[in-house]
Amino acid sequence: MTRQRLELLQWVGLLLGAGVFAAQLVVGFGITLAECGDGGNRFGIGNDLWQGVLAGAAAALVAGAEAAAVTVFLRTRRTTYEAPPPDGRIRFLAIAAMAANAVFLVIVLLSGLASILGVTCRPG
Amino acid sequence: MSDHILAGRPAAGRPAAWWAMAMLIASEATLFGSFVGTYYYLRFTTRVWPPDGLPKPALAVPLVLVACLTATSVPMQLASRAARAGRLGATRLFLVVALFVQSGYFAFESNDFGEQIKHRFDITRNAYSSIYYVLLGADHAHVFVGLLFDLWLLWKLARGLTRYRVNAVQAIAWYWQAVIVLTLVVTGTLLSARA
Repeated sequence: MTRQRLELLQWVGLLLGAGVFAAQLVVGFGITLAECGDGGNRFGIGNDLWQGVLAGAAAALVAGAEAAAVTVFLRTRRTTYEAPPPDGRIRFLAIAAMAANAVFLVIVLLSGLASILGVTCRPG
Repeated sequence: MSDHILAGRPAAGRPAAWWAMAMLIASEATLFGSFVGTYYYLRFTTRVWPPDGLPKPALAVPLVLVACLTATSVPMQLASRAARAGRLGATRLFLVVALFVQSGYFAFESNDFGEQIKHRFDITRNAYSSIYYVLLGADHAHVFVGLLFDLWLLWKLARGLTRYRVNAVQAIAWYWQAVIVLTLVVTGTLLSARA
């Protein structure tokens, strides 16, 4: 694997999970608003279905980011995170991404479950 | 595969400490972004703000305090520069000056936090009181962590300057700049209730 590809994978591993989490939060909020708002009543938007699809897609993308981070971690196993940059940086950020994506995966799944199991529309 | 990565080449790019601090600051910005978003969401869905006849936040004292904390940005940056120039004595001096002001800020603010909960309004009273104290408390907690960083740095610098410690001074200076920006945002958000 070339350095450019390894660096690309490292950035994908680091940033994709965070981006997907943020997107799920915003889109999930939008789905809830669409179902519970006045405008949504006419469209018959099913919160559970859409939240489930959203959580599934988000979890798959975060798992992809985790796979990218693990790949970089394995391919840089002969250096350490204390090595001079860029080698040290690539390995360091891959380790950070592995930890962060595990957390993001749990957040994405729990957030999706909460959106489905909780009461969607409350009188405001 | 990864062999070419390990070949001896000159260092290019920022050290791991820089990336670690950048990630920490990004995480903190996300956390405070959520708090500030919550505050304004509550505000724009409530007719009277602050609700239930709660008093508006004081203006003068928070502004003076935040100005004092903002001023410590200068000695922290000077400490970072002195460390990079290998001037150990100057690094320590600037850190001590910053630590002195930051400790005063924290002592006053933590005391004021306790007094407000005791005499102004309780944290569990309503959504405004909750988000008010969460914002303030989270900000103070970050200042406290910064003080611990300063003390740790001074302890490390008692044994001289190394590349690792220079990176640490630089990273902690950035942490303080971020905390100062967060404090300005938190103060501005809370004082917006006066508008």
